[in-house]
Amino acid sequence: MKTLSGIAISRGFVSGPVIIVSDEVGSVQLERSVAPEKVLEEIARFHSARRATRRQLEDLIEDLRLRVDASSLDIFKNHLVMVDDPTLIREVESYISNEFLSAETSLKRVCAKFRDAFEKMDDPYLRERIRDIEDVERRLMKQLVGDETPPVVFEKPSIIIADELTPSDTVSIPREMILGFAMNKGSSTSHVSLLARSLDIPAVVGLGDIVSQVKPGDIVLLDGTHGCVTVNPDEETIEGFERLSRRERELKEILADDESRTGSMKDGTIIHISANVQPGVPLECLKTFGAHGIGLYRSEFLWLSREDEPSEELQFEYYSAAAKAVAAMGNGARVTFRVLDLGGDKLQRGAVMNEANPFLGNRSIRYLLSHRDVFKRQLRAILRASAFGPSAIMYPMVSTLQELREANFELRAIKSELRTEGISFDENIPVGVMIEVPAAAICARQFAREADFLSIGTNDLIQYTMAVDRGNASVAGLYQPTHPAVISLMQQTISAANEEGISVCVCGETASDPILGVLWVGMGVNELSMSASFIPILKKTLRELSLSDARELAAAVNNMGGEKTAAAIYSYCRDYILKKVPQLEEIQSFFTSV
Amino acid sequence: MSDNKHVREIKLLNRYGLHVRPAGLFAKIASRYDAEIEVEKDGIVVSGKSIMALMTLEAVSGTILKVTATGVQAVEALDDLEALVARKFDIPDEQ
Repeated sequence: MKTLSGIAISRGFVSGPVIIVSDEVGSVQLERSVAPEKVLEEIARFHSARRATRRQLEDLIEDLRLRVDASSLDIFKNHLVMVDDPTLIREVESYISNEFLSAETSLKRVCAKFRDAFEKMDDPYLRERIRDIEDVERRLMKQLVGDETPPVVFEKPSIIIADELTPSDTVSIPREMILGFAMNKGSSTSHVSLLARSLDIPAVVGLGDIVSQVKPGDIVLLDGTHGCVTVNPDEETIEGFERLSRRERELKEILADDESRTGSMKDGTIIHISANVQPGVPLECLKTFGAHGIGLYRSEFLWLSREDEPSEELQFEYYSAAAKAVAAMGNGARVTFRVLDLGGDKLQRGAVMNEANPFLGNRSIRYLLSHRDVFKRQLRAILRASAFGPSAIMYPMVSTLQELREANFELRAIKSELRTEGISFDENIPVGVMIEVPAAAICARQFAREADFLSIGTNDLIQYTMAVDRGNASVAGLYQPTHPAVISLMQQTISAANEEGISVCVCGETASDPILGVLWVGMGVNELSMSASFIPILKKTLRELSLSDARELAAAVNNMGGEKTAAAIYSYCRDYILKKVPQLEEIQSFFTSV
Repeated sequence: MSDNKHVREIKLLNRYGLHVRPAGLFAKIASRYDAEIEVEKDGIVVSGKSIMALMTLEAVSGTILKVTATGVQAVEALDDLEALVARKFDIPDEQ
């Protein structure tokens, strides 16, 4: 028995037989030369291998589009760029025509030069990127050699052992044959890690020397939650591991044990727990994690992933897919489309950043109101999508009533345009305002009178209230969700919505922390929206509490006034909730690491 | 107009520097222009249209790249590339 520890990159417990995947590139005949009169033919052979590789990558991207997230997909899109890289092409051609080397040998030489350059790097993150070049090299090589030797045959679900898998290897192994990944190299930022998490496969990397520690037939225990791997474990270790694994399964079942998609509290109070979703994310995740609907649809990602404005048609395609998905869920689920939430400097290609302070600049609704054509196209796409499922619109970064009215003016204009064209849409689509600017929170009542719902974006509200950029490590400590000023602004907003009889949602990251989620519910919030994977824990926590518990907590916090520090308020909330939901601590230890 | 040569110093601001994604975007945009584009760091000069060569520069966050563009669209290319870098390559996690 031997236990190795590495970096936990994708959680979960699995045990099973190993399969060792070597990253050797077939049996390439090294140093093969070509006759001078065959040089052009050899160059043509290299280009046809490039074309075949390009097709292969295009197919792969198409195939993965719905299975992985956008950043994972980008890995392969960049491999596509590499296949056409001018330096690669020029150097390979030069080896072939000047030194009369075969395409394979030339490719090897060129990639070896790249490898040398990367090995000298000090920055670990950048040094690791050689894997992408090697991945492309391998694809090209396989095309050149003809790929006669089929790689490893996967007969039964196994734990994949490798020095380091390339992204291509990772997605080429049939998902049902993979129990987990254990690798010598890698870090939490390597592409394989990203893919493993995206595909929900337990994985440990950076194990040093797992490859030489195992042989075919060995049994391995892999703990992706804590980052260790045990080879040929003894009885006692297996028992301990199985206890953990069983406990994880039990907790998972407890979390999943949820008859209705609504989040109900002990006393029957319903709190809608919805998901924050970006375009392109597989919408099955809504069902998997028991989301009520989509509380925040981040439309800006359609802009971020391309250089030009997405067309109305493309937007419609994405929006209507989301609308159809929530329609299929029923139960009153809806999708809330947040219109473009980005700064002007981030949008216009060719426009150099000319704002001294972009966070206080022409962003979000301000940008849209100064670029009405962009706004109108987006509203058209959203309205058209609303014919396919329950939808809502919300405006981000609003600070004045004037902005809300002007945005609604455009919305009315687009509605009548669509009516004239005979295009159907939801005439009564609800329109909400995001409360992210202190000015809007203070005047929440006025907004509540003119909007159909309010949604509090806590990330920005905290940032603007505390005047702190949490990405700046030297001041990040001031980013305090439970600062009395933040709590007071939230309470004003929530009470205004409650009193005006409209719903109010919290859709910032704070909603995903069950401690804060309960506090917001106690303060009067009707809906919480967060990354889908956090939903089960929050639902479980709410099931163990009644609304009066949450209200009691909120009342206690409100009564603290400004005397307590943010940390003291937080730990008060935590103690209060853990006393009533003791299991939460264990659940968090299993499911919130990594 | 082969003399239309422009040089600009551009500072990398995104979190992880010139790794695969940023280098890919840089090369893709550079390739659109009718101009030769060279990127220099510490005396090493590579083609701005080559994702692989750009990656070998080991340009971490904060590095100042000297970008030289020669050709008809030199200025447009530099404007576009400078904006791309200033936007931190539009990568949400690296803002």
